[in-house]
Amino acid sequence: MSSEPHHDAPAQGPDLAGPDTGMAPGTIPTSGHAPGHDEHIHPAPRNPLFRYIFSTDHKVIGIQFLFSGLIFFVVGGLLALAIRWQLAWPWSDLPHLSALWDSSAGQMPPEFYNKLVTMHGTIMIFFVIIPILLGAFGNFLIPLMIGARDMAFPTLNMLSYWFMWPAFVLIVFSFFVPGGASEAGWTGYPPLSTAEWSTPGSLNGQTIWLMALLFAGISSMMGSINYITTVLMLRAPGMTLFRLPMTVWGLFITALLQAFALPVLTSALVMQLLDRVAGTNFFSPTGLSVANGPEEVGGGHPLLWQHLFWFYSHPAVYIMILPAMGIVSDVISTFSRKPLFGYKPMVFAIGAIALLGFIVWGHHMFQSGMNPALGATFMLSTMMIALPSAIKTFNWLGTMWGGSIHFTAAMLNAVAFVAMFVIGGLSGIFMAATPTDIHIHDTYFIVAHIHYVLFGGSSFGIFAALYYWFPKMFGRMMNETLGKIHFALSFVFFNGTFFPMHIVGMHAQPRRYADYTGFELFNNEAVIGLNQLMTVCAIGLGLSQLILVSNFVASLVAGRKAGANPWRANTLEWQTGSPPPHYNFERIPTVYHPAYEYSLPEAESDYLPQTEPRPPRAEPLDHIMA
Amino acid sequence: MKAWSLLFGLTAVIATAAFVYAPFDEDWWLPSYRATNAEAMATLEEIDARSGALAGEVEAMRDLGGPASAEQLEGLDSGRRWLARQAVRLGMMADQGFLSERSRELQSRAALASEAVASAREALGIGPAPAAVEEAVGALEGLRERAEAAIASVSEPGGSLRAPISSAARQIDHLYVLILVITGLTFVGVMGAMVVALWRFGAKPGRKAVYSHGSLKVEIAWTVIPGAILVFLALYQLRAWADIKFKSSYPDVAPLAEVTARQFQWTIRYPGPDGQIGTGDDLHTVNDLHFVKGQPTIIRLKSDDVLHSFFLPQLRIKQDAVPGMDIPVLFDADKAGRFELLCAELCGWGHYKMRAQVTVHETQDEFDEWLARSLEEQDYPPPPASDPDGVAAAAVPPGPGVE
Repeated sequence: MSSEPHHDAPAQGPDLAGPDTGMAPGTIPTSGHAPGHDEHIHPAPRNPLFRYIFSTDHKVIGIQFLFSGLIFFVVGGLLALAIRWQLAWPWSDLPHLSALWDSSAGQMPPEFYNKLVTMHGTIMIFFVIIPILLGAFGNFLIPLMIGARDMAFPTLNMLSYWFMWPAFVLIVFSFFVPGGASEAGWTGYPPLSTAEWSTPGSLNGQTIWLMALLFAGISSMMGSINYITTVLMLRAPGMTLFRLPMTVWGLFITALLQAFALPVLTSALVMQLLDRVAGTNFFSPTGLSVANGPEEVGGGHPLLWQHLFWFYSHPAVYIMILPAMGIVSDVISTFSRKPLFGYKPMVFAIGAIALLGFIVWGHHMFQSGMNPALGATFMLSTMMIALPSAIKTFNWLGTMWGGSIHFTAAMLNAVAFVAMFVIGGLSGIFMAATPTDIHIHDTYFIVAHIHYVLFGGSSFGIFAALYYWFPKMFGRMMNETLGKIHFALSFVFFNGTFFPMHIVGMHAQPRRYADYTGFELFNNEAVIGLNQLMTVCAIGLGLSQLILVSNFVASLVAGRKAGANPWRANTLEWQTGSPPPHYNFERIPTVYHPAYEYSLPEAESDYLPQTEPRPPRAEPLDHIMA
Repeated sequence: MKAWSLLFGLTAVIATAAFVYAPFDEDWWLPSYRATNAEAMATLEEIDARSGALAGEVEAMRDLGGPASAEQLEGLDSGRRWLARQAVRLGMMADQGFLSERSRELQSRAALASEAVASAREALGIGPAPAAVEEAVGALEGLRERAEAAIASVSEPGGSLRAPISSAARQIDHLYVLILVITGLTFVGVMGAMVVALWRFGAKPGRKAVYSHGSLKVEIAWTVIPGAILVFLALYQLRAWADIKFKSSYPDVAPLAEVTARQFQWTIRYPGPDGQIGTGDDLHTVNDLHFVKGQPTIIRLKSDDVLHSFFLPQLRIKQDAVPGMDIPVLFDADKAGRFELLCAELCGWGHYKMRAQVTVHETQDEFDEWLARSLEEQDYPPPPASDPDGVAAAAVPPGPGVE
């Protein structure tokens, strides 16, 4: 419910405030018709400072998250290209950056390579994928898709965006402190991260890194609480939980995951911060001495950090994929003009992934020195988490099968999500199996796996969402032809970049090596050649994104005007204007059925918005599946 | 529209083909080992050929009536110089871990032969010297024989899915192939269905999509079948995991050495004559791990500073080294030869160069010989003048960095 006072009342004319179903956004939808608050529609603030910057409007905040995320996407991508350059042509001059390293004759110093690796991972995970999927699409879509006027706590929502700013500033600033940015990997394992003199990035950069993540974490926590409350409390009349679109389910369960996992990361970050600045010893064993420094009193354990970190960061992997799964479910159903196959099993599968996601963190630690018997139990739970993912994949295929598929840019990206997620999911079984993990742990096989899930999965999901909801966000269509070219090039170059990583990974090329050619194992044409191929494709992948950027900008300014419902979709956000008015819906809609009533034989057109009742002639819904 | 299904189909075909063709092919690992081997083999073959010829040359001088001619003496001189050069080359080979003890032995034999030829030359300059000739010929023949034996025993480290070379590799590779078959078939099935769906069900005017919310039977089928496969996989692999990592399943052997990782090197400590690690007579090496073919070997893994990881790719062994922990690691190798030890856990700016040479000895005797000589070199470093080849460089005296 809006926290703004009621007296700054509607200035938009009486027709907007007219009585509708009488359901207030703040009442529990299943409780029938409650006295309405619909007369309290708030116009957008006139002051641009509060309209576009310090806005409490979920749509503005969503777009703010989107733009910040996309800007950091560029930063993270450039870091990745620098990594690839070094791997293809070790120690050769990096174009335009060699001047930075006069002291090493223009060569990238190995510690800088470690910074690149660390910051690429950190930025892509904490500043790109989570903010875009949850911050941008979560904010923009949840109220629109459940038929609410805004989030439950709009001011908290605004704060959740502005708490990202200290994180943005800190993470960029960390490159410029003495010693430079963190070098301990995005996982920040101590003692490398806690011992000041272990490596240049641990001098100051790591402290900044910890603070940046703390701010990002606070932002995420605010968002999660808001999403959970909004989905539970502000659904439109008739929007029962099992009528929610999959996107909302994905976001809702992700918010739950985040709310329960994040406190553990926050405490771990604080512990590491204290270890670094206050002389505590949570993670230092007795007598630890790094780089011939004085011995620590110790008494802690480095593995403690790994447990705490992965207790959050494994769920974080699902935080980064579940919303995309939801998005893709909606896109595939819409463009197949066919109800989602097995809606309820899909919901339960997401729930199962979330629950199991809490008991698999140890699979990151099979080789860590953790008791191998414990590893065996984590192996079992990890194997089991493959099952709901498999169920989801089969259901997506079931949705397309027998459909009437429209190959839009959004659909192509969604199909690519499914295909690439299959590769990422299946390669996960190799590392879930503890014995094979012995060989592939910490090799490029792992790097391939995470990129198939996070680029092939989450990023293609983000592209799909961008093409799909761009008309709703900005009221204009994106250019479909450019969209398809962007998709085709991204898809080909993505596979060219990341597929060979499986192969060099099986040949044991370790991750986070600034130069692998010093080993007889890797100093051969096959491994070096594949690395060069990957780099060329990565550059192609980076250049392909220019098409997306130009399409985005051009469409923003001069795209064809989009109608309210250009894709003829069923969900609530398409039943209001594009872009939606500040208060989202003139009248709070009433929901009559689940979101996927496409191609109903008794209906006149091939879609049936959630706001229209099913024709009386139609057979009752299959209550086990839909 | 069909072009899009082709794009997905083609990607799936290439991905499958790459996975089936490329895994663990030892041909990828071997070229650089082969390059080093080829260089060393050239030395050995040259020694084999020329020491035989030189022996014949010297032999011919056994029954001379008087002092050897200037020409003959010149031949002996150049032979002596050549032998000294071979000793240096062999020393370098030994430092690279090539054939380990054999190259050390060859090095000392070449040095001996060089001395024998030198004294024969001195004696022959004065008059007939059958004894000196005899000795030089013996030394040269011995060198040639050992070189021939060394050529015969050159082994490449290898290690591939088709030819695993350790107990762990046999179990892991078997499991790997099993998972590859299962996931490969799943992948082909899923992608096939997707390509067919995209191909067949493209939007056509006049055709409406099937209205269906799913089928309970189908859902149950694609829950139970993958579930059963996953449970099977989970249970099936437990044996291998237990054999490789559980201390309770380790054979009852004394630890071979204590391996301590530190930024950015591996310090290795072998028990001395008393058989105990941690006593004054231990052998300390840096980045030089030796063990014996076919014997289950346990090392105790420690870290001095940050996290590291003990990674022997060809033997499929990986274990993180954690400060404050003492982790026993079990491994073996079926093949003698040179291997590499990598650090697989990010440990700082020099992570990428934290490499150690691993030498797998053919026999226990060979290992004992290496250990004895290394101990001797460690305890009594020879004066620099008499050690031009830097033989002692591999052994490091106990310093502040080592307890």
